[in-house]
Formats: sequence, C-alpha cells, structure tokens
Amino acid sequence: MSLEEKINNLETDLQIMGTLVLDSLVNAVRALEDKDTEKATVVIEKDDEIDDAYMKIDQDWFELMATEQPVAGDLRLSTSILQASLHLERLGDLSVYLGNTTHEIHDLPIPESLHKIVVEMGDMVIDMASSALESLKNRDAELALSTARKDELINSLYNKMLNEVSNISGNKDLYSGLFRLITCVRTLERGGDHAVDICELASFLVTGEFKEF
Amino acid sequence: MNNSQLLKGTKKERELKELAFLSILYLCVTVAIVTLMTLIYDVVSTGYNRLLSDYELGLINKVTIDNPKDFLTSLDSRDPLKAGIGPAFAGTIWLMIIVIAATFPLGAGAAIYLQEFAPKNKLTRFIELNLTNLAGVPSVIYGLMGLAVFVRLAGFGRSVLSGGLTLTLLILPVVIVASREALKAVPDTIRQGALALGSTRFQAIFRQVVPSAIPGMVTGMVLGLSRAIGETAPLIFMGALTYVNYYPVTPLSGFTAIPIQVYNWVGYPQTEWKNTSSAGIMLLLGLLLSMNALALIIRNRFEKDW
Amino acid sequence: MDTKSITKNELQYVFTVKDVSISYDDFIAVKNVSMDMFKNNITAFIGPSGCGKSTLIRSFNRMNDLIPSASVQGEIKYQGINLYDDDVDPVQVRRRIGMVFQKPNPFPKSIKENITFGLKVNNMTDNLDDRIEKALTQAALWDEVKNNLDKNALDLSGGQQQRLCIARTIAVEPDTILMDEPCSALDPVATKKIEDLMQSLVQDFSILIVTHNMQQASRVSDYCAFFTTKATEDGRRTGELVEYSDTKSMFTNPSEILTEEYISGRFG
Repeated sequence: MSLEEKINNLETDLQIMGTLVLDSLVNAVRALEDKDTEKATVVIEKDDEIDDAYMKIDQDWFELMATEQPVAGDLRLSTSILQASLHLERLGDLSVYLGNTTHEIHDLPIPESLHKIVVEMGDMVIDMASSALESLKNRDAELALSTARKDELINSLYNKMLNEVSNISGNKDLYSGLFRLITCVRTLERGGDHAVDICELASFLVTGEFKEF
Repeated sequence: MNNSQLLKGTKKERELKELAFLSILYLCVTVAIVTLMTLIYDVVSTGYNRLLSDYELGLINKVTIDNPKDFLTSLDSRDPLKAGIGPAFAGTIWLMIIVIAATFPLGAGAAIYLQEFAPKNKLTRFIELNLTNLAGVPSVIYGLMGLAVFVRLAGFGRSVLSGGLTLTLLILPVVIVASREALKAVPDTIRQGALALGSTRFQAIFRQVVPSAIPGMVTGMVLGLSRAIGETAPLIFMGALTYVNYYPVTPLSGFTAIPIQVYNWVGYPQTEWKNTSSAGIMLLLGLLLSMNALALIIRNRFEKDW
Repeated sequence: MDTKSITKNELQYVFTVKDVSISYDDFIAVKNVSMDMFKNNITAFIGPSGCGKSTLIRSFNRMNDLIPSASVQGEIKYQGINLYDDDVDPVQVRRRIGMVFQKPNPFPKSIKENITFGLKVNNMTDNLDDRIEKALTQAALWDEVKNNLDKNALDLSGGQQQRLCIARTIAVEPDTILMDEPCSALDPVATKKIEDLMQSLVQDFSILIVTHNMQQASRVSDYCAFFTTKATEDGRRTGELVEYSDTKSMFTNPSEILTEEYISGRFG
C-alpha cells in the first residue's frame, strides 16, 4: 500500500468514526428528550464501537509515522486526523453521559423549561459537531469559522439556563433532577468545545497555521 | 593585510612561475617534434628523388624514372635506379600475416587464461613476472632462439615461416600484457552480472568479457605488429636473405623484409643508394603510420568508457 | 536474538537459515545467523557497514563461491533444499535466485541483448520477443524503451539502467530476487520508481533487500532483520543478527536496545 492510500484510509476511518459519533449524539439527545431509556441503553452499549474506531485510527497513525515518516501536507493531515479522532471519542463519551442522564431523570420530576433548554443545547452540539466534521472533510475554512462562532449560542443558552434555575429554586423536590440537568449542560458545553477544536483542525489543514478560535 | 591584498595574494608571482614552467615544457615538445620533422624531411626529400623526379646524373645524363610503382614492384638490382623493394615488401606482408595468425590466438588465449582462470598462486605470479621480463629481452636473443628452434629443430629452414614465428615470440609478451590490461579494464560487475543470471563461467567470459575487451586486445596487437615490422636484428640472425630477387611463394620460401633491405642498401657506397634507401624508409614509415592510425581508429570507435 | 511471532497464516518459507557463519580465511565476517524468510514478501537486511549483510545475501545465490577464501558454515535451505549440498549446481541456483547489484551494471550492448543473454544461456529462446516485452513491462520500463530496443543500454539513465537490470533478472523467471542496495546509486525520483516496482513485483517473487537506508526499509519491507558488528578478541569486528521481526513492530517497538539505538540514529 502506498503512502497516499494509507492516508486516505486513515481519513476514511475518521469519517466512519464521525458517522458513528453523530448517530450516537442524535440518539442520545432524542432519548433525553423523550425520556426513552431503551434508546439510552443502546447508545451506551454502542460506545464500544466508537472506542474501537478510535483505537484503530490511533494504531494506524502510529504505524504510519513509524514506517512512512510523512512530511509537510501528509504530516499535517495525518496528525490532524489523530487529534480529531480524540475529540470525537470525547463526543462519544458525551453521548454516553447523556444516556446515563436519561436513565437517571426518568423517574425524577424535572422542570419542563429546563428540560427544553438542555435538549436545545444538545441539538446545537449535534449541529456544531456535524458542521465541524464537514468542514474538516471538505477543507472548508469558512464553514469551520462560522461553526466555531456558534459556540457563543451555547454560552448564551448556558446563561439562560442559570437564569431559569434561579427562578425555580425553592422547590426541594426538583433539586435532584435539577442537579443532573445542570451537570448535563456543563458536559454539553464541553462537547461544544470539542466541536470547536475540530474546526480549528480544519482551519489548520487549509491555512497551515494553527489558530485558536 | 587589507582586504584588497588578501584577495590579490601572490597571483602575479605565481603566474610568472607558471609561465616559466610552461615555456620549458613547450621547449621539450618543440625539440622532440623538430627532431622528428627533420628526420622525416630528410627521408622524404631524398626518397622522393628515387620515386618521382627526373634525376640528374652528373651533368650529362638525365634519367627519367617512370613511376613509384616501379619501386614497389621491382626486384633488387645492382643499379640503384632500378632496385626495387618488391620482394621485401612482399616478405614484410607475409611476415605480418603469419604474425597476426599466430599472435592473436596465442596472445588472446594466454591473456584470457592468466586474467580469468589462473589461480592466484606462486606459479601464476612467477609466470606474470617472467612475462614482463620477456618484453625487455633484446630482440637479437629472439633471433638466436628462432634460429635454433624454428630453422633447425623444427626444420622450417630459413623461411618466412620461421621469421614470422620468431617475430611472434618477440611481440607475444607485449601483446599478452596489453590484452590482459584490456580484460582487466572490463569491470568485475559485468562478470558478476552475467553469472548472477545463471550463466557458467565460460559463458560469462566468452560472451560478455572478451567481446568487451576485443577492441583493446586488437589495439594491443596492432601496436605489437608495428614493432614487429620494424625489427631487423632477429631476422638477420635467423637468416633472412639480403640479396633476394624473387618473391616468396610458400611459407617455407626464403624471404627478406623491408628493414633488412634498407639496411643492405644503406651499406653501399654510391650516393644514389641513399635515395633508394630513403624510398624504402618512406614505405616503412607509411606502413607504420597506417597501422598506428588503424589502432587509434579502433580505440576511438570501439573501446568502451567504463 | 529475537524473532517475534508472525501472523499465523504466513507459513511458507523461501529461505531457512540455521546457524550460518561466513568467513574469509580466518576472518569471521558474520556468525550464527538463524532466520526464516517468507515467500512473496519483502525482507530487508539493515545495519551499519561491515556487519555482513552483503556477505550473507551473497551466500543465498552462491556468489560467494567466486571468492576463493570464502567459506560458509551452517545450513542455508532454499525451499527445503540445502544450497551447499554437493549435488547442487550453483549455476542453476543463480537462475532460480536472481540478483540486482548496487551500481547498475547493464552489459555494454543493446537493451534487447541485455535481456536475451540470460534467456540464451538458460535455453529459454522460444518467443524471445514476447519474453523481452514481458520482462520489460514487469520492470516498468517497456513504455520508455519499446521503440528503441536496439539502443545501447549504457545510454539509459541510472534509474532506467537499474530497471533494465531488474528486467533481465526476471526474464529468466526466478522465484526470488536478491537486491544488494539497489537504490544507493540513484536519485530520489529513480529510487521511488524502484520502490514502487518492488511492491508490484512481490506478488510474483520473494524479495530480499540489503539497504543502508532505514526509511527505505521501513517504507518498503514486510520483515526486517537488523545486524550489527561486535568486536572479537583479536580486535576485528564480526557481524551478528540482533533482531528479526515484522517491520511494523521493529519500527514502533523493537525488542532489543541495539535495534532501538540504530533505528533512532543514536548509534556510535
């Protein structure tokens, strides 16, 4: 197999992993929305597949470095793929967290307004992750930038969440559910960060310079 | 020292020294060439008289020489104006043919054996050492040997065959050495390449190495030959006749050769013989020049730049 | 000396080497080599100068026979047959096991004649033109020379000459090709062509390559044998096999420290 083929395979593996992760995220957010514990369980179990995909990329990248010593564009691409896969793996873990949360809030009373905000944030993360992966695949620097900017929306949702919480406080029965939703939102925020990181990698591939968004 | 001095250095002094040295070298070359040119001029101007021009014999007789062909085809004679180099020329040609026929296989064979097959032991070293020594043995010795071995022992008598074989022995060491050099010049990678394809040693040597070395071997032979045709002493020793008035007909015929004929003519007192001898020398020089030119052509056209 | 376990379905060996030492008179050039080489794979010998890689590879096609002082101890088996048995014909060995040399050494003849020489000495003279075309095609040279087969081989570029040498080697249909630093006299472009060629040839041949270039070994080979020199009592250096494993393992996680040092350039 030639160097080009090996790198193409590596990128294909990343795209496969990306699809797995996006599917996982979508199912996790829908499960959380519908309080569907069966769906949540499937998401949690499928994390093994995502981990395997990550291990494969990691191993293949390692061997590529050792045997081909790529330079220049090949080096930037293969290393970006490795880093992107790491962020994807974390997004996979996020889906698992959402699944666990679904199980936990299943029987708990939760304020509907907050539930909505969490689901909205979840959809936003799905959107950002999907666009980030697309910008990486198509080497689209503009898409990467505009996607990274959406992180502000996540921040404003987060602030909205905090406002809502202060309105609701007082009803002790809601505390358990509330707690879980708040930590869920923190985790989703980090998910948004991972999507931004993938956008940075896409921009790096296009410009050759690494910039923090 | 400032920068300008650093760059200039001792350029002027050095250029003067180089000029002086070059001048000395030019002088050496000039001396060599002028000497040679003088010799040739002397020979050509006198030989020309025998070959071509109307010749004034004293103030009374004017003799017309017909054409140079006379000189080449006539027999020897007491009359310098009629004496020709015909039989000697034929003798030289016969000798050349015999030498070529005998030297090439023997020389090539010996060289191939020594270079490709001989084991690297003391016996081989001994042979190689003696080969180099033989090239320096005076040619007279070869004449004596020819007398003993070919004329008497083999019973060929004082024939052109004996002469040719004697000359063969004379130039054989040189030809073997030159052929060996030609074989050595073929890189070992060629032999290895051939063997690596599954050829036997014989196939590798005779189908790849020797063909590549042939131009060098032929050049060596031509140069050896040009030495041989100028040799006088060995031929005299083994009995080349000095006054010959017939052409050699078989290998066992008596013969003479151009150098011997010229040597003979030079010994006569009459001044006219000088022209005749010069004409003979011109022929010999012409032959030598042609052979050396041939060697050069072969080398330039066929020898390989490894 | 360490041999990593290889994947289980690669069980066919082209060479099995047991305890082989090669010496010139009393100087031991390489000693105690044991390894098994797989068919239809590229095996690379790497290591510093003087470690006996070239000496060893030349014993696989009995080219060492040409050096009178060379002697081989131990067992080298080719497809189960001991190469140094009395009844084994070295000429036949060299037909079945071809060799490409460091400096391209085409014969000073036409391109065509370079290939026909091997065919003629091996009595493979039927369909000469087809055989010539096939060999040159397999060596990725046909398109460049097909209109000019009578051109002198020495007029070709270095890379083309080396491909011609490969073509004439494969024309006699060996099953193994030994390559002794085949690219060291070539520029990077020509080198890449030869490396690509090796990858395509390995489907039909087993290839053994000696190389000084570690990156080449890591790019091209499936298995790698690392040799080094060790000092002996009389002050000379003898070559030894240090590690033999699949290339990926050797370059990501070698088992011997010496291997690690050599590969990462910390040698000496």
